[in-house]
Amino acid sequence: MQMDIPTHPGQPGRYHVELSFAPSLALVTIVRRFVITFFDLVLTSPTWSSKLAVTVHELLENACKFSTDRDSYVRIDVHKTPSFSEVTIETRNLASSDNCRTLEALFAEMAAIVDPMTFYLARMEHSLGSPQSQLGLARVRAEADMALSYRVEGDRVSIVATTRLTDEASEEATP
Amino acid sequence: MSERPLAEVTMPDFAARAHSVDGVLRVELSGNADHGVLPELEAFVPRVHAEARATSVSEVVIDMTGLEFMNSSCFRTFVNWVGWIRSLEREHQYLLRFVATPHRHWQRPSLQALSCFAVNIVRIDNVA
Repeated sequence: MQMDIPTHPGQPGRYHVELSFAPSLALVTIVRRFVITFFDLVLTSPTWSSKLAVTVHELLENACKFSTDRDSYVRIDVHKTPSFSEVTIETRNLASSDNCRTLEALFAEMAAIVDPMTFYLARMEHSLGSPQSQLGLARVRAEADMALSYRVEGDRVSIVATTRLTDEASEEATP
Repeated sequence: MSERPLAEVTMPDFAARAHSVDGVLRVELSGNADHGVLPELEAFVPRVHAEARATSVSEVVIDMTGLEFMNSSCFRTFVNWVGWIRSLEREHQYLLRFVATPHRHWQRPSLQALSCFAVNIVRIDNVA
């Protein structure tokens, strides 16, 4: 499905969606399905839409799982140019100090293992016999080609995923 | 096809069914595998593994063509499954042959990652 969505006259090629909701986990799939529809309208490749839907689902599920007040927030920004599209997906939630430390440790591990697939395989190995999966962020990096960053301020956690989509990337990824 | 499934999960938005067809153990997954179905999937997969061991099959075919999405927690059940097979003595190991569709664009990268994790255990068949 493709169609032209008019954007703000002063900001051609810029689109965004922002959602804040609670209670959370049961709504993640509904949000993912909505996001796929949004990306199918704005972008031109079902492969891209799928990668971004995986990202939204995993980040949002984490935000919901670890939210201490049951609220979750996601914002998706798309900047389309003739040669590429830049996408930023940000989730926010409040989290316990234990979960903030776990997140910081995970990002430190990610920084130490630069290659996304190597990190993903390491997390798979680690998940064997572990009570928690902790595969979501590794999956987003390796399968959806997203760069990830995070910010913790007190009990406020923000995770940002960014990628630049090009036609070449779409052609490579299309089966 | 056997009348009675060897293992089965039926939920409003997800289904998993294991059955034996001409001596081949087949698993069919459909719907949406997310947080809401994780406990059922975590119970289902060990039952299929136990059946595969009991019947000494050389492979289990897992048809994912009807699967809309799988989150990483559910994906982890397959990582665990691979881990259980890997821990068996070589002569007792069996293949996991995934049947995927290019129309579900998440399937190929997920299964490719799983096959990297266990090169000798995971195979991927793509259907049109």
